[in-house]
Amino acid sequence: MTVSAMAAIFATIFCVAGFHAPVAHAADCGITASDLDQITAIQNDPSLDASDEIKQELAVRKQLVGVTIICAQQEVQVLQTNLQNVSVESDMRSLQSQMMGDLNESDDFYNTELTKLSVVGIAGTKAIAQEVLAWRANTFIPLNEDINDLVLWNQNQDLFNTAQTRMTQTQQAVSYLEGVAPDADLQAAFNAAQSSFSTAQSENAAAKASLLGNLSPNQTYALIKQSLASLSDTYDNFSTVSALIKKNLPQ
Amino acid sequence: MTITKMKLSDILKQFKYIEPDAEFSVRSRTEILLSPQAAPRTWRSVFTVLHMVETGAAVALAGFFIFILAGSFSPTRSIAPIQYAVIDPAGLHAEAQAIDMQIQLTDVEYPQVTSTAATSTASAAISSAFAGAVAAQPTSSVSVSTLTAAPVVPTSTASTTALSVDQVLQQLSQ
Repeated sequence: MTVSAMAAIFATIFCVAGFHAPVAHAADCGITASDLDQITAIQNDPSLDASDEIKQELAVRKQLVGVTIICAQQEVQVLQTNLQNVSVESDMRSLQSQMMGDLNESDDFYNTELTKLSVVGIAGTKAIAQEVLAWRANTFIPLNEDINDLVLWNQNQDLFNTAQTRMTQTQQAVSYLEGVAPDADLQAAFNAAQSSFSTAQSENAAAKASLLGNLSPNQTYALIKQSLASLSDTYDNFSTVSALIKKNLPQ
Repeated sequence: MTITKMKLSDILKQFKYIEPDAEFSVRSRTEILLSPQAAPRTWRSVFTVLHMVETGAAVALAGFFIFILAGSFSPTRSIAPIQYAVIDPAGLHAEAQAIDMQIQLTDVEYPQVTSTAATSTASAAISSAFAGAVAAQPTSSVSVSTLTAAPVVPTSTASTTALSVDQVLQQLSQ
């Protein structure tokens, strides 16, 4: 028994056990409404003359915009970690590389905005906040959703492989029992399991095609959810089939 | 000159009548025939390969029996028409539960960064890091560190609710 064979056995055990790498989550930033209220407080402070008011408001705005951008960079780092931890199929590697490149560009964008922040006035801080907000809506958030979809889809493949193994074993058992003592209920339940599993596989394949085809992240997400729902239905049918097999076994 | 050539020719012709001593011939032949003969090279290669296959098969068989003895692998389960896993409710339940957990994970909206729980330490770390970075800029006319040292105390429970990155940016763009 070679070392590689032993490793393969352990890997199979992990797969069958449904082991998943946990999805890391973004760090908390902790910016509250009261932090933003500092600006209003400065503007309404009668003890400040106009010059001091502008200086203090500018400082607060710079700090808040800066902290927010740094927080957004943490979000990028979390996604980079998630994406690096995904072991994708060969035909999805280029997509993974492309996403990683997009994340690097996102980090560069945030660094550029932070650099700009150091030389602007109050109006400039507002413009930077607006620019980052618009960029996130158009570029980053769709990328974020795409990466989450890829991670989710990849995690689901272990579940599908396990279900496929169970389907094969169940088919073997049903074929044997049908040969010994035909049972219409058993055959019907097994057909239902096959049907729902086929649906789940189709939806799973469609979700992959959606990812590779750069379709809408929401569309991919919907397909992923549907595939899992169909897989769950398959296990309901497996449960029925299992009970009927047990009933048909000689006591 | 011609005479010398003829003599030499005659001498060379007489060489073909040279024979070994009869006793020496017999002894040499006997020694050669009695010496051990090496097998042809090709057969030796075949024997080597067969020996390796034999060793490999022995090791594999030993490993197979170790698995059986250790209880990790049951040949009856693998070749039985109905495998135990098909009727094992615990295994079935575990697999179904894994799918339900994945559905729940899928339903969770991924953090859009966030700030949902306002971790003060994280916030403080980011604030101090940024304050240090800005303070290093010579063009900044306001001491940010002064402001970070005197944060505004929250005035209500609602105001302590953490905001997302986009919510903060929305507020700061106005």
